[in-house]
Amino acid sequence: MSELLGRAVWALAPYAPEAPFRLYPGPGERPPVIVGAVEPLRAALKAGGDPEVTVLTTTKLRPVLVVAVATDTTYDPGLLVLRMLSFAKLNDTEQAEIRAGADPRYFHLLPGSFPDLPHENAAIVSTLTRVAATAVEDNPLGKLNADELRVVHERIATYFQLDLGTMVKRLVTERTQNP
Amino acid sequence: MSSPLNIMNIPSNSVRVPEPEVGTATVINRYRHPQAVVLHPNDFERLVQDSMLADSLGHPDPFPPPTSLARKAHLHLETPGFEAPRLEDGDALEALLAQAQT
Repeated sequence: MSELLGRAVWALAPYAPEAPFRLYPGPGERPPVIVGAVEPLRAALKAGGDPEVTVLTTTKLRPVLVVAVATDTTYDPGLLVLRMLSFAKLNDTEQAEIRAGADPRYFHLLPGSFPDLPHENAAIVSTLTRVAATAVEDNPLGKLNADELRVVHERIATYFQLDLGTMVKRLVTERTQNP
Repeated sequence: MSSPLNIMNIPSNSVRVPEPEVGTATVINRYRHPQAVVLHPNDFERLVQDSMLADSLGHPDPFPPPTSLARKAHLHLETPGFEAPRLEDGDALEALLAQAQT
């Protein structure tokens, strides 16, 4: 799976379930059971012995950018991906803003590096999503180089305000004492 | 971390390759703009080391190999139906929701 790092691939990247929730009622003609919020659902499930339920979640098969791969794929086949914004949805001004890097939320994917994407695209830094390895196609549509991937990682850390200060201080200490 | 370098500016016409001293950077200017810098090899080595250190900070060592606990936790929390039975029965769901409302 590590060969997918920095690649764009087709994937089933589900939306996060949001209220009202549609619960799968099992096979047959019956429509989904609708629940408006988490609290009544929690109360109902508690009364029923805390079973798992299947929430119907809308999913689009779309190109995504793989930005991280689980460290140990023998038991954790997880990928972190970003959704993409197609330039087909943008006007000329918006496209120019993204190409110029005006907004760090969007990382422009150079068309020459992503020849198999249907359109020119930008990765959306705020859409970090976990998907299973079985939910992506293996065939890459293009790839970032190592420097571009570093920039994407930096933007993800910045967008989500990940506090890496302790890690940096520890690594400086460790690696200056044991270079 | 390393202490800052002392900086000495000289015009390019006056350039004779100076004897580098540890802790001193000689900046060679041309038309009032820096063109080159002469460093003692020890200071150059320190810059290279600092650069390598900065680069390495983006690559923390990975977690140690997974223990049986790690595999167990992943199995429990990432496998649908492992921790509890799956309820996919519309009548039962409706009944539980109605019961919880009363």
